[in-house]
Amino acid sequence: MREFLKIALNLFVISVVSAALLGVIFTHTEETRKRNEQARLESSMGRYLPADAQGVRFAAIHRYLLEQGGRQDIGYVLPVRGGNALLVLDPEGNVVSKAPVSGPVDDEAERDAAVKRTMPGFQARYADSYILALDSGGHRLASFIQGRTAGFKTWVKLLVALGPDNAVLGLEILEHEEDPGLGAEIEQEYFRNQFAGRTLDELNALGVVKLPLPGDYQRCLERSKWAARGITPQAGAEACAKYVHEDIHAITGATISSRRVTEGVKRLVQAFVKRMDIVAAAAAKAGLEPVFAPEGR
Amino acid sequence: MEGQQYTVLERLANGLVRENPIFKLALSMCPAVAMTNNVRNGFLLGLAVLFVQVASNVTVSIFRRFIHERIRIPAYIIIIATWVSVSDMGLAAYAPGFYKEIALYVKLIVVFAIIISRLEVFASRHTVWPSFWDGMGMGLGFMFALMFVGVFREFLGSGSLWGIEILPFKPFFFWSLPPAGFFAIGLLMALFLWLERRYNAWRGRK
Amino acid sequence: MRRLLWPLLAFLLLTAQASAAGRILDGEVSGEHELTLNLGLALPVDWQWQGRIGVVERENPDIPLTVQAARLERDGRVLVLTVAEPLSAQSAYDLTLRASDQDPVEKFTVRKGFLAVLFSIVIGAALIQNFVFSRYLGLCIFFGASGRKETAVGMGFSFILVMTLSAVFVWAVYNFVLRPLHLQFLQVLTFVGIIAVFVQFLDTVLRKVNPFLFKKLGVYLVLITTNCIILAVPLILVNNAYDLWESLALALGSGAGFALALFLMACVRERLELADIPEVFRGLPIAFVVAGLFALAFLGFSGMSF
Repeated sequence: MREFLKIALNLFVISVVSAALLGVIFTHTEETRKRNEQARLESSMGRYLPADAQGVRFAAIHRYLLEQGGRQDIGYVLPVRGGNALLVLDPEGNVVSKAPVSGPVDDEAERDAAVKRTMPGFQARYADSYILALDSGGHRLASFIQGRTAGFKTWVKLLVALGPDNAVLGLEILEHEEDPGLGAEIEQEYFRNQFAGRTLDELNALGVVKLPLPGDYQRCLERSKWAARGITPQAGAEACAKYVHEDIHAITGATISSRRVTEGVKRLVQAFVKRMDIVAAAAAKAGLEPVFAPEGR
Repeated sequence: MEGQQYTVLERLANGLVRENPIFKLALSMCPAVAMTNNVRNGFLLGLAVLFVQVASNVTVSIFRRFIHERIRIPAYIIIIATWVSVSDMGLAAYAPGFYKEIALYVKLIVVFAIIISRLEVFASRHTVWPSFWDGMGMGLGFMFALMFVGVFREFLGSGSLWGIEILPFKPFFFWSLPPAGFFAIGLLMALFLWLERRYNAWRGRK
Repeated sequence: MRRLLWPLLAFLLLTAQASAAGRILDGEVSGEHELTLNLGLALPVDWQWQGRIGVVERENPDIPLTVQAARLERDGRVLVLTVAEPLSAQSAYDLTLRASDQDPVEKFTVRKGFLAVLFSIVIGAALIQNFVFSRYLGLCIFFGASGRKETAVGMGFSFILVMTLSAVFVWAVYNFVLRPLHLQFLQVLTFVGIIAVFVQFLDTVLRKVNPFLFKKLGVYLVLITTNCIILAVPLILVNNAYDLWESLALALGSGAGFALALFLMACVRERLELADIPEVFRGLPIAFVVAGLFALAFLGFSGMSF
């Protein structure tokens, strides 16, 4: 029995020391991780802003699905003057309720908790986020849609960058589980950059064709390799201008992934445009003062 | 065994060639198949394994007299799991871009047979300095094997190395597909064995 | 395949759905742009669908989908809707339907049945994302235990046992201990600990209860602790936030898939021993090449979904 106790104590001490060491390291690295993640997101978004932009602020709108009983409402966590507010709308766009949101909203876990606190009795589920890059007057320089769409395998998480007139500036793939060499090619520039430069109307009519990518189109799409290949920005832009009105060329061997990502981008952008109008109008009606100016031009 | 002299070079050579974890001992091959589609992933995972191996080796060597015999396996597991969690958190915080690709495999390092076998076979019976170099040797051998396969697969499959484009086309795309990892290891293992046999025959003839 | 699954799915959906009291019994996504609904109360043949039917994705209740056509079949008992936007069997859709302008609006949610979800997880883990041939995990044990059919069967069986039991325990510990206390960073430590304890426990119990079985499985039980899959399954179920039943389904599927992989490999390797193989390839190298061929074959399952 003595022996057993000694062994058990030995093991216990080892476990506790390990757990304590991990706890220390965790608290140390968690802060850094969050900061780095935020910095990376902002730098990848910063690439789509005009080079001379000054005093740019990022404002995020987070969309939640609120369920109670049988009814489903949509809650938007909006940045307003003085903090954040939760604006609850019904599916038709009418204001159901509004409430201030206390606590940090940048981290997903903390935000979920804050929303649950603000709306007790409701089942709140996070849907997606819209990040707006605002100039000093609150006007949109660029908008970023963080959402997901079904891929060939499970989900593909995307970031779509839109300009002030809702034309597509670029597409980034954040997460996916596609096959390497096939569906995973959606990460490559020669696929993603085909979306850049499309206006909203063009995007709505966009289709996917199973045609191979012309060589010069591919070269001008791979913007990061322009310098290595000796292509000037002007020459690259000119070469791509020829093809900018074509449908999306599907990736060889990954037609379904290409189609689903294209459809996903279309629907995310359409939903964004529609929702921003509704939210801006509803926020005004509810008496909230969001930090972003309504697109009333 | 405690008194035997191990030199740094001997331990390194042992890990790299004579008892190479992947090609000779055939342990912990899961990442060798899945994560060698390019050199960078192989290098990063090899680095993580190197860190865990060395840290665990040193820890066990320092505390070898305090770990009771009956619970040594659970104790080793706890120590390895701690170091794996440390490297997991470290990578997530300081190299998130790379971390995303190897995330699952970093956590799985804790079940790599190579690490626990080194603790049992070597670190629990030797002092700190040889244990450190044994860990280095094994870790470097692992990294070398992973990168060797990675170079083979990335160059033939995508015409690039470490993401840098070397050929403007993809010579033999098959090697970049996931199942090719099995073929690559099988063929390269056979090559390794053949080379070793020729070398031993050459030395024997001398 | 669809024809065979349809009656099964209909039954499952029937039993699993808490449908609103109304005429819609069940429904499913029957094509990329098609929704099929089974009605308990038939609709008249000349029923006008415009303005009387609404479809939204559960995730986007404020974006109505465009119904392009509605077709009644089987004397008005089956309603087939054609929608402009692509539909996915993985998503849930909320429907509103009214038979006429005087009737009340009926609501219904079309989603995958509970059992169908579990079934797809099992098949997914066993075939489509087979842990050995598609995810490339558990290889050390795989190559070690696939030399003979008996060892393969023994290993596979003990693996399924340990996997299912520890999956339940891991799920419970994670959701009732780690998550509420915000100790997620201890997950690797705890999972490995739980698995080691379980293996030890099983070792002791089996030794006393069924010595014969213990002798047959003996050494494999201990080897399971250093198996990549045994840790990967808890990590996956935590990552995907599975509930208890889904975790069990994943454990069962992965165990079955692993056992299948082991058995297939053992069959081939037993034959290979009698074949004339170059010396440097004998043993492991040729086994790897064979595994590669299997992996290529399993690539054919990729992307399948139920």
